[in-house]
Amino acid sequence: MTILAKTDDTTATDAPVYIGKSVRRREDERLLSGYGRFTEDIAPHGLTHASIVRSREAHALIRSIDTHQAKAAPGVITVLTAQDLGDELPIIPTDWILPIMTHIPTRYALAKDRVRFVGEAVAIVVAETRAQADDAAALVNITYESLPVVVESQAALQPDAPLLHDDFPNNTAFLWHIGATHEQFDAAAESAHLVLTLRLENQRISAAPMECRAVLAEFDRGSHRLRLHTGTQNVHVVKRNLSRATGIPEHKVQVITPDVGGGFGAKLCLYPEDALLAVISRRIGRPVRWAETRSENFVGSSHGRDHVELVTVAANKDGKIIALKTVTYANVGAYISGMGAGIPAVATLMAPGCYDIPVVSADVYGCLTNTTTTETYRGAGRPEAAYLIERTIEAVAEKLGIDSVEIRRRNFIPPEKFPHTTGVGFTLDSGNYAGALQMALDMLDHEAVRKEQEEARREGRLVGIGIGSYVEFCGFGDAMFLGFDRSSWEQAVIAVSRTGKVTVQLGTVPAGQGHDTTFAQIVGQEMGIPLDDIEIVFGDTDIAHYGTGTFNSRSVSNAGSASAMAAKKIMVKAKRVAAHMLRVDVADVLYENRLFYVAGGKTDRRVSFSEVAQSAIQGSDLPEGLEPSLKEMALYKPPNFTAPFGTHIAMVEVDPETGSVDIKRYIAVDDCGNIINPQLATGQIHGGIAQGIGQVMSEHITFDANGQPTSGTFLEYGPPRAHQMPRMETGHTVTPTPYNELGAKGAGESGIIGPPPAIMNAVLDALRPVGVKHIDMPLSPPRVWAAIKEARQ
Amino acid sequence: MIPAAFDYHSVDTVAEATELLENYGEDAKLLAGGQSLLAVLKLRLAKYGVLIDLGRIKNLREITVVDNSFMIGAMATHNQLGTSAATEGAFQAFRDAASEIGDPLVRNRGTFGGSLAQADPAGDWPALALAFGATIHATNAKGPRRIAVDKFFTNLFTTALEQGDVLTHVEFPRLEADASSAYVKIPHPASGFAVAAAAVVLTLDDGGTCRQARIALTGVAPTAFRAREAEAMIAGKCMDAALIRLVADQIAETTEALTDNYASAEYRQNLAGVVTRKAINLALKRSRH
Repeated sequence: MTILAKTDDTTATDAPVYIGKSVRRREDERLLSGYGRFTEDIAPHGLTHASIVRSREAHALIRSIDTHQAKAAPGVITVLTAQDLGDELPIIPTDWILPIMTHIPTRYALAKDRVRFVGEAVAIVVAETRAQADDAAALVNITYESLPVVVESQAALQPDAPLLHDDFPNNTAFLWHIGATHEQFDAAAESAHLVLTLRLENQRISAAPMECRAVLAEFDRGSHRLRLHTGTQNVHVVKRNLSRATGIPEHKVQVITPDVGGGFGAKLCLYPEDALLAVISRRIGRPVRWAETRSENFVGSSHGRDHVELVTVAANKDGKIIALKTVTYANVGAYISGMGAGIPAVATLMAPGCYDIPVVSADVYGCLTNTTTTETYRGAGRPEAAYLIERTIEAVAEKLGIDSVEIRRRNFIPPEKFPHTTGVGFTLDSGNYAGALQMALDMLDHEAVRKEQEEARREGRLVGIGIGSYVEFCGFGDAMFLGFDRSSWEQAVIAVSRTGKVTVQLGTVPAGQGHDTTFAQIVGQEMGIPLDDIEIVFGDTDIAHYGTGTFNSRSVSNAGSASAMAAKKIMVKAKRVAAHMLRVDVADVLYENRLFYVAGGKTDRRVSFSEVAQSAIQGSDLPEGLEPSLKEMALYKPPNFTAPFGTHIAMVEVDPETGSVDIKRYIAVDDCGNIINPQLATGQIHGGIAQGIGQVMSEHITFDANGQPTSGTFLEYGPPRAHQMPRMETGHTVTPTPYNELGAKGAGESGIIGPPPAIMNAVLDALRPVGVKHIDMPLSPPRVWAAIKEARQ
Repeated sequence: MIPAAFDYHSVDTVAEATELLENYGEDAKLLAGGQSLLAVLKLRLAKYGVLIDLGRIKNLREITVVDNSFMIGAMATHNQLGTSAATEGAFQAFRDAASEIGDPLVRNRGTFGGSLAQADPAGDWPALALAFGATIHATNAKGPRRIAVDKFFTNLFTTALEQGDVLTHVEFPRLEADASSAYVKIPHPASGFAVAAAAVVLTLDDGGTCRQARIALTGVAPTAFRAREAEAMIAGKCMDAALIRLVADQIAETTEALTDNYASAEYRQNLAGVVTRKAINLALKRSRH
């Protein structure tokens, strides 16, 4: 016998409070116990495997490609070159084209006639197993005719430099300008007490994600549909660009991102392999999968940074900065990656940093070189800007003999001036820069530590303290003025089942950030239901019809706001259904503890959330004019970017004998507005600091003069190991953004911005008694030692 | 990162290994812990038709102590050396080195003999083998032979081992009871290999005079090497800070160092002096005198 029972969950306890709580990551048990599902874990029936033959030359004409031996190797299904693909050869779109750009260098998915960097794909082998594909790839014989090579940005602009693309004279991909003219700068600087210049390098680094890229393409010949699995941060952008690159119409393309082992900006655009596998699957009628090796990742996945900055700053005697001019030589690599042109341009938006500088002039030369493309990497433009301005602040302070803390205070945009439009026309939402600086100084116990430093100096020890204050922008708003034609908005669709369980469909895609937890918190809070009743789904273009993607720390502020809005809509409708069920006016219905009841104790009738869901979806007895079901969509379009900020302080000791830098204290005060989950926000800060320390201390992608990579393995390339990390002392100030109802600004990238200026400034402070004035990143011991030696000579 | 195909042989005795080496010639390669070889194969920087795995030859894993000397089987892991009773006391430099090689995974797989045979210019064990006066035991189809460590490291990644040889074990002479040792390394921040490292073995008499000193460096030059002039400067002298600094300076000034993408020769020379001084000081601290 089955008893026909009414669902009843009227035993709910206290109303849940989720926002602001350190709810444990719901995804961790699955990920840590081996139930993660990454692209390489997916093996559909009939799967084939691809291996890519890459250029060993940095710049050469392809004289011939002999694929006979490879084609005859065991298990080989096909071997293809650009020529073999003919009209099917995809051209990889650049989707961020600055308004000043008239054309972009053509990048084919497989090099056609000419290679322009080591690692460029030249041929692809498809076989029954990966090992067979790799074996056959080794048999592809390519004859090159070497061409002269240029690897450095400024060298590429010289008139006698080898030209990469005939339609880009002087290897100049673009010349971007924002803010005041040089004449206006000169006029402003004329009255200045001090004008000084700096040349800074923001070196090339690699995202080095734990999971390298992977792609699985399945073209279904029956439906003419392509399903592509790839670990991207942005399924919809990949879908759109995949359609452009392959000619498969957008509605016939489905892009799915399963679990991703770290994106950091390097998995944000369409890569040649995505399009290549799509057309190959269509050709051979079988699924094909490719997984990047670590060696390939170092040359084939886009790098970050690689800017040379020439800075001129003009200041009054009291330290007030009156004008700033920057000229950036941005090495974009051999082509322009999806967002490659945008990054150095957005860096100029942040050039004035936290400071109220009336005249700011910024130029950027986009330089084409025989190197891997550069692209977004965590922070994407803001770390470059913060490093530039914070080094500048220290230089001004030193020259004027004023404490740099004081220089910062004198130049900070004061809290009452927000919203504030900077000298380059960018509007900052809210901020209390002096507040974050003060908190960091207090956490350090600044005065006591300065005394400690004095004592150390008397003992001849090289101890230094360095500050990095920053403001950045997150929550990518509308940026058509930069030619950014991706949208700014995000959507959330919330559907409630008949048992009152909730599914949230999102267009953003996590790569490890913990969206399954934070978004459940936001929706759970709005709907007053347990987190266990909420499923968050994302990473599938068939599930969410549109999304702008997860980058620029924008998921919580944009998709989170959309989720909160959709949840509110659900509750409005649920209340109407409840009122109908309770036979009262909707204005009299209250909701608490998953129960709808009648205000003022007029009746003790009550209905539960799941009963309301059941009634709404069953649909027989609904208020007149109300559509059945509980399913709502909300779209949130941010009015602008948000601007998180903070101050990081490092205390270091340099060993003059070995040049090694010991980070004795590291303090990070970050303000990302309201925080949904403090533990996850702090985790984001921790991870960011680690990567920021990587840049300032050890990471450097290098090439020799022939364009051969000289940092292509983890034997040379050094992200920080656990034992190289200092203890991180973190704090938050909270200045909500007025732009979205969550008041959340974004926390994903702040952590990486502070360490380069804070640690570099600390090292320069430590080396002041020795007379070292300048070092470029990374602070490798040999480099620091050489700087000390040079200063002492 | 899949190596080219190879045949795999797992052997139970050294004789089987030498026989296979004899049969396959240069197409065969011995596999010890695989911590260097497998990476090279996966990167397809090298290709062998046959790998002969020594992992099942039990007696090659043994560390045998006789009086104050000991014999290390070629297949003893770094971790074994770091924890063996044999490396207590005068042989403590072995513990210093073992604790700094790679990470725990590498230390549990990588072997002493494999490291010596690899002769990486930045490997740790070559410096210790030199400083402690090792004798390398090798066997081939013709029979066993001994190679003095001073003749063992011939060049970058090159040793006196010949085609067909199996390095079986390494013998260390007994040390005087009052000897002490130390190994100090400055690692590359990414690879963990030595940018410069020094192994020092000192024997002091009751008055603090150095009867004998042996100093060997690695990471600095194409092969690990003994710093004989520096040793001679110490022998018979009373060890004080000024002398130690003099010795360190001598090493820094006379060493012909490598330059690579990470560090200049000049920097390495400087580090050679630094690690020598630190290793001498640590060995002195450990000395009973």
